[in-house]
Amino acid sequence: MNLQFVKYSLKEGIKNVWINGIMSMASIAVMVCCMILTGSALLLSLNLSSALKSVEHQNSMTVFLKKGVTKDQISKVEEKIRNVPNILKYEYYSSEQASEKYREVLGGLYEVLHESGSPFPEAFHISMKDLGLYEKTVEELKSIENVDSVSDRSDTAKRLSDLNRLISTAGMWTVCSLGIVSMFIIANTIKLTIHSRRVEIGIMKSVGATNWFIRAPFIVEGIIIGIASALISSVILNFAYKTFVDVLGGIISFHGIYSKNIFLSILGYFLIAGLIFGVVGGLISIRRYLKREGVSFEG
Amino acid sequence: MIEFKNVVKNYETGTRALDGLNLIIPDGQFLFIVGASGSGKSTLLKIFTKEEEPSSGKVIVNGLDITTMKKRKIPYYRRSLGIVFQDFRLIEKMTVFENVAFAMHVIGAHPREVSSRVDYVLNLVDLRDKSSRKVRELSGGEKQRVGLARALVNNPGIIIADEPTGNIDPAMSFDIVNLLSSINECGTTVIMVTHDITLVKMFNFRVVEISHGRLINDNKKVVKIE
Ligand SMILES: Nc1ncnc2c1ncn2[C@@H]1O[C@H](COP(=O)(O)OP(=O)(O)O)[C@@H](O)[C@H]1O
Ligand SMILES: [Mg+2]
Repeated sequence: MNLQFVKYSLKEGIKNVWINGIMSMASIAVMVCCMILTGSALLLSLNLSSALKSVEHQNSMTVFLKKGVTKDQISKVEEKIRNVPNILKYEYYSSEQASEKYREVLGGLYEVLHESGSPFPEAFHISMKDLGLYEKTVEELKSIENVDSVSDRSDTAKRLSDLNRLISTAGMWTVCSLGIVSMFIIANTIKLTIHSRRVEIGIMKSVGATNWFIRAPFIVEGIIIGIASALISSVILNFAYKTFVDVLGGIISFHGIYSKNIFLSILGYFLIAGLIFGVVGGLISIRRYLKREGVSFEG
Repeated sequence: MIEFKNVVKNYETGTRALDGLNLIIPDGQFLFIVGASGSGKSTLLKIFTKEEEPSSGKVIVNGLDITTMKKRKIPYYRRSLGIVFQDFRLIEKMTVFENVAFAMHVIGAHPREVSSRVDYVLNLVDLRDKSSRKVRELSGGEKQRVGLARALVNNPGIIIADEPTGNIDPAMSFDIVNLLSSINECGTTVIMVTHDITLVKMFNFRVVEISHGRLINDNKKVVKIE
């Protein structure tokens, strides 16, 4: 492989993308969509994992009391909670407090949803001393009279990890199928370019250009499409996700994970994927062509 | 020397295009191949350029049997041939110069060699002053001269032309064959297929006639002494 060959292939590859402008843009657009979908699945999964971790490290829980308990009954429950050995601290969280907070979040919508009364039960926020005694403490709290339920982290954790598994599986299928789609898109775009340059290819064969000389520009074309898609989708995904986290974080207490590193690695994955799809797409399309046309010089 | 030995070509459609053809072409010869349409002339050339494989028989070029040649060697073999097409096969949107230079670029020639060599061959075909014209603006005769320049640019030992005058008027046709003959005088073997008998008669070269895939006439038969 000499410098001449590299220069020639790059120049002709760029020319290919240019000649086939509309198709190149269309295939970049489709690939960008594929990559954004893939990236979204990845980010969702990362967020769920991080949520899962924070749930697992929680030493707090909420004890909900039965509907319609009296002030007296609440004090009795408080008394009993104080006597549970593993309790570090507890705090009464009234039905009104809960609905107040909810009203803050929802604004006017709250009135529409709840015409009268607070829909929330009376509750206690509790912190534990020893996380190891989690299960036992939950049991003790549950056995207290008038306690309806205890927010159980294992429940949440299970739901989160189920969701995460679902998203990982779905994400993997998405990545696989979108990968195949991307490859075909690239291959078809390049096939069109090949078709529009068939006279040149025939001439190349007749004057004795090697197959690599014939192939290389189309592989470069695939690589350009792949890399452009990777760059564009990374930028869009970064921007969209940041906005999403900011906006959502303002509405509910959602702490989306965000760091430059995540996007650098996403960019990295996309670039590698784009590169592979570009090369494979290019090889597939020209391979078929070289085979179908045999060694003939006809266009 | 080029030697066709009992070459048979059956196409998948069942057509027998060549039927045991034998032909010897010494180095530096000018050879006209004539014959009715469908007699197998193009097939003969396609086997020679490795566009088609013979069903049986051998084709020996400078001592090498090209029918058993490895696929990846084909491009290098083709560099020893200069191929001229009836329909010119030029890139219309490119200039005359670019069309000829293209043939050098795609076999990895160094850019420094390209310019002077292209100028040289364009001079040979008398097109140096049209070097920067787009091919689509040229007449048929001029286009074929570009085709000829391109075939010559990589300095092949053999020129192969399948009806190179088929798409141009008679006066221009004579010019083209004249050019081929002056190239031939410099030692290049020229094989030209044509059905223009008047044109053939204007030159005193070897003429072979093919009919139904066999050689039926040869005015200067070459016999190999084994
Ligand atoms: N690719 C092909 N497939 C099938 N038959 C072909 C093909 N090329 C040529 N032929 C047939 O082979 C015969 C010889 O064709 P060709 O060599 O083109 O003749 P010529 O050039 O003398 O007119 C014709 O009958 C033609 O129809
Ligand atoms: Mg023919």
